[in-house]
Amino acid sequence: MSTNNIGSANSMKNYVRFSGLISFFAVMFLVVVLLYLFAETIVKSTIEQVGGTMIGAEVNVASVDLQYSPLVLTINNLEATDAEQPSHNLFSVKQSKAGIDFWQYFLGKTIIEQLDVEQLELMTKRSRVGEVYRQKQSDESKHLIDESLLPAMDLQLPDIKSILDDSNLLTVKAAEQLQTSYDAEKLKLNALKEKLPSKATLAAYKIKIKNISKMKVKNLADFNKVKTEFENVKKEFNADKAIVKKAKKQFSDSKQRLVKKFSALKNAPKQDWQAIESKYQLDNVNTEDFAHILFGEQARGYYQKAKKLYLLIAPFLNSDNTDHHEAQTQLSDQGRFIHFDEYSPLPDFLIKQAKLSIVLEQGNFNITAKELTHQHWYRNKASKVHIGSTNLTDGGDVSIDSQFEVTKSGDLSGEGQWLIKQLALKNLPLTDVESLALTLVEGRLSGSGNFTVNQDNNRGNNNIGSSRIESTNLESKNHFELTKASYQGKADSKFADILLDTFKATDEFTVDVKVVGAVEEPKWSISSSLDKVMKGALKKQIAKKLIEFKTQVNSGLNKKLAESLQLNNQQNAEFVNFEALLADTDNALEQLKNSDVVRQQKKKLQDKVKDKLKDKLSDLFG
Amino acid sequence: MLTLLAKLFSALNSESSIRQIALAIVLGFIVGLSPLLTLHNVVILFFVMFIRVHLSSFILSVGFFSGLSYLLSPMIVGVGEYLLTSSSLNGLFTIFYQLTLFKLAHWHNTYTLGAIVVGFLFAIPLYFISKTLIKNYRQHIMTFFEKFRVVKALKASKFYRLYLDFSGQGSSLGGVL
Repeated sequence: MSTNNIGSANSMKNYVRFSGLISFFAVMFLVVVLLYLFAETIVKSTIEQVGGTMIGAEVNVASVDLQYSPLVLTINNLEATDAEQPSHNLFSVKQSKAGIDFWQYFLGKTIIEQLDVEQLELMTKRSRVGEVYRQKQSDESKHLIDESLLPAMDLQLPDIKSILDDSNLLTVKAAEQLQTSYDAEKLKLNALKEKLPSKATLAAYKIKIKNISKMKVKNLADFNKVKTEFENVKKEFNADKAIVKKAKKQFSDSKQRLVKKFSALKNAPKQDWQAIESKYQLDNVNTEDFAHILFGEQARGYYQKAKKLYLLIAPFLNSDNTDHHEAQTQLSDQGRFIHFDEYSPLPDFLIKQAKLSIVLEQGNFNITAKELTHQHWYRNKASKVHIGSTNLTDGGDVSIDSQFEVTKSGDLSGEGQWLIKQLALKNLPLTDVESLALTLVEGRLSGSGNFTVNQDNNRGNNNIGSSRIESTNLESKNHFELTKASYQGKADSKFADILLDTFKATDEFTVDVKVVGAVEEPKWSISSSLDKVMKGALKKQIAKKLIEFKTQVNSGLNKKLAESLQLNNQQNAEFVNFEALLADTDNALEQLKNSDVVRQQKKKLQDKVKDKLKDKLSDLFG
Repeated sequence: MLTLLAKLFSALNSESSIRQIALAIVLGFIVGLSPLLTLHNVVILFFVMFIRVHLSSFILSVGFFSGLSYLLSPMIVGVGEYLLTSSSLNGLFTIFYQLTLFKLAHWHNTYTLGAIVVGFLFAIPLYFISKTLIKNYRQHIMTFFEKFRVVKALKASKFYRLYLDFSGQGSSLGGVL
């Protein structure tokens, strides 16, 4: 038996190597021990490196603790340098703890059961200046401020001389057009004038008529001769009369055209003023949207920050790129993963529950979130986020509730409401431009609002990447009410002075902000109770200056009109003379044409014939 | 590397079991074809350590077939692609996909699955081919080369001294290593 055992043991030794087994487990144990010993250091280093790459500045983690059953990752004192201001942290977190599903993590899915972030603080001062890896961004925001509407809103009226010298003025143009028309019409009339019968011609016609009247008519043949002579002269009259008639028609047309041009010239100064008002927006000053100018920058600034955040997460909100059964595009020699339907599918990233405490100047805020993921269709649950305040330093209350959902095709929909009650604000810069620096020293902010986000599939390219953003619609209505407000500031222009004074005299106002349209470029509508106050103050201030300006411009325009009209008076006289000439010639011709010389000669002949007949009868019956 | 080669030649020339060397080559072939850090490679490594196979042959085999896998990768990926996308196998793989082990072993990766399938498919023929080659080497080639002057000159080299070192322990270590 024992010999058999020894034999089988020897036989087994021929096939099995126990020392190798020990070596294997020793190596495996070593690997596990090394991983265990260095896991925290590796995680710490990874967070610092990946975080640094993401934000472009130094990220520090004091320590990382790993608890293995269940897997809980604890990050202590995380500080992320602000790349724009390296002496400060973009944010810092005292402690964040994440319970991670170990197996799912190995399968490439990050499922966090509970995330707790304690004392998240913004813009805290760093113990030492952090290193910045990213190149400084172009001063886009500064540029936006520099392009503020405020400096342009100062009442900088245009130079009167340059306005009046402008060759595009209608007054100048109308005068030029009138002169051109007059010259053209004058040429036409002069051509006709030359064809008109002259005074000599008319005198010759008179002589001819006189001669006809003096012709001796002794018999019918003489009378017929008179008649023929007169008919010949009459033909000449008719020809000349036709010329006069044509001239009269031409004159009437010319007169009509010139009257029209003249009328345009008279109206030109008025139209010029209207154009100047519109060009320099002088007509707009009274209806200017002050709230938009004052609060638009701030609102757009906050919106840009939110949009930046949205653009960061937007690529993850796109359609499920790792969709099961769908062939992935990166076919290569390295192979690819083929996914199949899961009986209990889970998103690639999911935070089931999260709790963050944020410490701000105003006090503490708590954020609680549920189902934070970008693949909501797996669990058919929307992400819900609630932000609430606790123990605000100067009282007040803030509450924000929102929820959002992304469909499998990448459509984002969400909604939210917010409510602020008597939140204390201190030293909040409202505007800081060259002409006006205005700071809210203190005030109480109340307000409410809501927003909805949805996908407009009729707009934009609905495929992948940022194109989904193009078709994302936003609609938001917000009402703010600031009370017990006091301000301080510095103004460098008259207009800014008015603004500053108005603010200082106002301790409460409301602002309504409406944002509608594509997330990329929404339409802003901002109105405020300040508008009315501002308009009144500004109107009073600028009215005097504007009237003075208007008088000077109109006087210059009228002078131009007068010069043009004076010139046209001389030309008008020429036209009147021509009209008189036409009338005289026409009358003369008409008189000549209607001359009764034939009738007179006829009567003479009849008288003669009667006399002769009387003489003969007296001789017969005498 | 020189030591490993010396160990290999020592094993080939010694009385080490042909089966141990052939099995080492086959297991090295399977490991060499697939990506190194995979679950099944750990299992194979376990067997390599546990079962008496020639370790140096295994290491050299892994190195050789890892290099060869670059040339074979289109074929390997093609096999994996065919299997994983085949509609008739879809149901089977869907069941496997529910297993954590399946996903952990990356068997839903076309390269990994292709490498395993190709590896195991050619393992048996390769085993017998290796055995035949080693046997023939010992019988004919070794004797044939012994006659050459150049071999005699090589025997005076450092490499041969190393080889002798291992040959000297051939009876005790040769079989193990």
